[in-house]
Amino acid sequence: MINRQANRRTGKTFLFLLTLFCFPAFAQKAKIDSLRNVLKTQKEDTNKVNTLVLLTRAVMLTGQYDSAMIWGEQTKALAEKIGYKKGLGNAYNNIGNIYLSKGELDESQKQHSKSMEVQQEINNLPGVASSHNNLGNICLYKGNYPEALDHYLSAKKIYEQIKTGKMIRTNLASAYNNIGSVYLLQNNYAAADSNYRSGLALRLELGDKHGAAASYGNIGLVNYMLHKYDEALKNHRASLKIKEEIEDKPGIAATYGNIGTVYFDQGKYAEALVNFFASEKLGLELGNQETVANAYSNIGQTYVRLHKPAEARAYLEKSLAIGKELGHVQILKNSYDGLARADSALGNWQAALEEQKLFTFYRDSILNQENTQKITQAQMNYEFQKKQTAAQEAQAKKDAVRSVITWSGIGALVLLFLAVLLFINRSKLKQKHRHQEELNKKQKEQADAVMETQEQERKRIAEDLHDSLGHLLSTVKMNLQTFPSEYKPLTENPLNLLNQASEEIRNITFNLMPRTLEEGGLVPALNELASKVTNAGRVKVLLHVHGMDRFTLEKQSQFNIYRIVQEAVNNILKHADASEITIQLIGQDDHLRIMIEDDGKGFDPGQQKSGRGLKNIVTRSLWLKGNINIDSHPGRGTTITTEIPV
Amino acid sequence: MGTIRILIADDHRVFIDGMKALLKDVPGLEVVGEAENGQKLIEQVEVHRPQLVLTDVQMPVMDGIEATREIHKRYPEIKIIVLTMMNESMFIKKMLEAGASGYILKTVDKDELIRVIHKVAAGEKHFSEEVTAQLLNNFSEKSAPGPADSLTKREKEILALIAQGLTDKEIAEKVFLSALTVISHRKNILSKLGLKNKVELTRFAIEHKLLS
Repeated sequence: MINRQANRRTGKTFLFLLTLFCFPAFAQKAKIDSLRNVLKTQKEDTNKVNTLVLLTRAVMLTGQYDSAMIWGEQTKALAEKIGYKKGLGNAYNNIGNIYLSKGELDESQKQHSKSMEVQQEINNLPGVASSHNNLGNICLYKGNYPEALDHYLSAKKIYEQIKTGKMIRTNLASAYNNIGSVYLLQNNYAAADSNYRSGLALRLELGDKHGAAASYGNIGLVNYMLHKYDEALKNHRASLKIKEEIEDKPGIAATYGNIGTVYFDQGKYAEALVNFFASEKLGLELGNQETVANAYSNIGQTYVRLHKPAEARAYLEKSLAIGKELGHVQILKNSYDGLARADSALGNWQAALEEQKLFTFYRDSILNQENTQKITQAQMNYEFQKKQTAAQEAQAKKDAVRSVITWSGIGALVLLFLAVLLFINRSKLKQKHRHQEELNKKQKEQADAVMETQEQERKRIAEDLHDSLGHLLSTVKMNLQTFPSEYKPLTENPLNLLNQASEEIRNITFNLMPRTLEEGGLVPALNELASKVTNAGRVKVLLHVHGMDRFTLEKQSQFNIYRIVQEAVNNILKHADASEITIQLIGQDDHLRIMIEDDGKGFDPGQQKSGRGLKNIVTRSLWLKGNINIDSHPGRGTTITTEIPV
Repeated sequence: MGTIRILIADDHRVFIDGMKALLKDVPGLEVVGEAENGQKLIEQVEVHRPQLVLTDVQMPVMDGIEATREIHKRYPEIKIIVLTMMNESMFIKKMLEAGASGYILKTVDKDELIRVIHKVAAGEKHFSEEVTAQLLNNFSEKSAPGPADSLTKREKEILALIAQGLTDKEIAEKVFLSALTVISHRKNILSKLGLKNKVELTRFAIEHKLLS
């Protein structure tokens, strides 16, 4: 775990994970012209379809996807017209690749599936395998690893059946490589290693230097993840040697970076530095900003470890600048991390603190993304496995299936619980930055998306918590109560704890997402909130609603208003020491006034820096285009008013 | 009084199993059937004709609310107790309207549960403490009886000061609020009472003896 953290800090470069085909664009122009000339002379036959297939591919490689799409559609139409199946399959394949280049994964998947159907129909095995490979790539991009693996394995199987032919064997090596990559992404390092090595052996046999270099690099990466540093270095060096032979400069730069990272993790900072510098030099030569920035931030991090904060600072400033230019979150995170360490070593506490905050912010946003991905992947994994299990064990005994489900259920529960903890923890930190974000108009849209995602996440977590953990706890409780009465002294304490846990879950669930808000809307939900707080006994909450029936609020607005009131009430409960809270929602003409008053100890708005709660209220109010007024005097309670247009 | 025959409906298998284990050795109670959703519950009721049903609220296919309504309509003699994780008044109200005679939370103790089953089977109603509190404290959305009652304490105070001819700023100083907040209060008062200006406000204050 500690080492992983270090990886992130040094900006590990995940290169050559996938073997994709790539051609230099400049060579395409002449090719396109000559193909178009050939086309003019051809009749509507299979030859013309084949020419169109080549032309589409050539145009696509120049990046003109719209024209490529037109050629692709023409190919398809002609192939259909003359009933040329193989050509039709190739046309679908091209169209699928164009969509893939445009990043439209779903559409691409559809086209490649059609291509596969046609290829299967005419029993064109290499074509079927190639479709499997393409579909595998798409699944991989979507993060659906199990299905990607399934496709790659199918491709491998076909290639192994055909066996002969250089192209087939080259593709088989790619299939091994891709399978290895899926295993790597699934953290199954042993399987990744063995597949990468099978691919490597084939590539060496075929004399495929590009491929072999990539395989060596991947094996290096796997061994690095396994902390087998010597093995990692050995393979990276082998990769480097071939790349130098074939003058693959971007590859060399990446490998230097990877070697440096291994040394860094080993604590061999001098060696690490040499390699990072080599990577920087090549990156500059190639004009590859990302490589350069990664090298800068790695050099900076290394200098920090070498207790040279001033030098570190200089490099980290440079990586930060590029990171900002590229909007590259990973580089920004690493740079701020290094800067915070450097500044703290230099005694610039104020700056270090700011940088630490920004580091945390970027780290959290990356973590958040990763968590979401992990959860999605866990679901995909689960669903895929479910499919598989159902197919294979249809006749297996019911009891066996049941125990599998129970265990995966318990596993899912634990995962969920962790996810909730992570989510709650992260969202706390995330909210800190919401205010600044919101003021920046450029990021307004992002904020919208974040808010919506947050609500959805909250809802999902609340439901999961309630449905799974809540029920499990009450079931545990029932089971405990079936013990004979002589065990009572033993079960009493656990029973009490279970009651508290259930209560806690109900509270968390309600705070995350009251079902009434989802199903009944704003006013019933506020009623519920007022009632819950009043029932707790410390503070009385009064709710006045007037004129709300004259308009309907959008769901997102309702949620925001609810969160404003919730945040205000939580703030009061936490800080104000009040005995009564009055919440008012007054609809008048074309606006809605929300007023939250308390009779607590108040504060001096001029003196006190507003806390997170107030900032959130302001942010949400701004989102609703509202005028907000926070009115408070020491000893005289607080009144928050916001008036929003409807 | 013989054995009380009980049907349990819940979409959580483990919960049903736990419930059956819990009630297995209790004299006078017998679990005669189970259902994982509302529709199955109705079918099971037809088959077993129990005296009492324990049902969850949210279930797939058909929820407990609809099932309760249907069972109550067809067999008003069958008592229905809601046994759920949710104590939000919206659901409590819906369940009561549908014909449930009891509403308890799943965290209920064994002894309490048995007591409630007997009580409801004997024709009484029962709501657990938390549920009752949640219902009682629920505030009506409809405006209160007289228009003056819809005003908060603070609003009445400000209305009196307006009627005495004080400006917003003067009122603000007197009640330790900012003028902006006072203006918001004034707007709220006008809106609630359906009035247009200070003259009407003053008249209202006098008519309703709010000039303290």
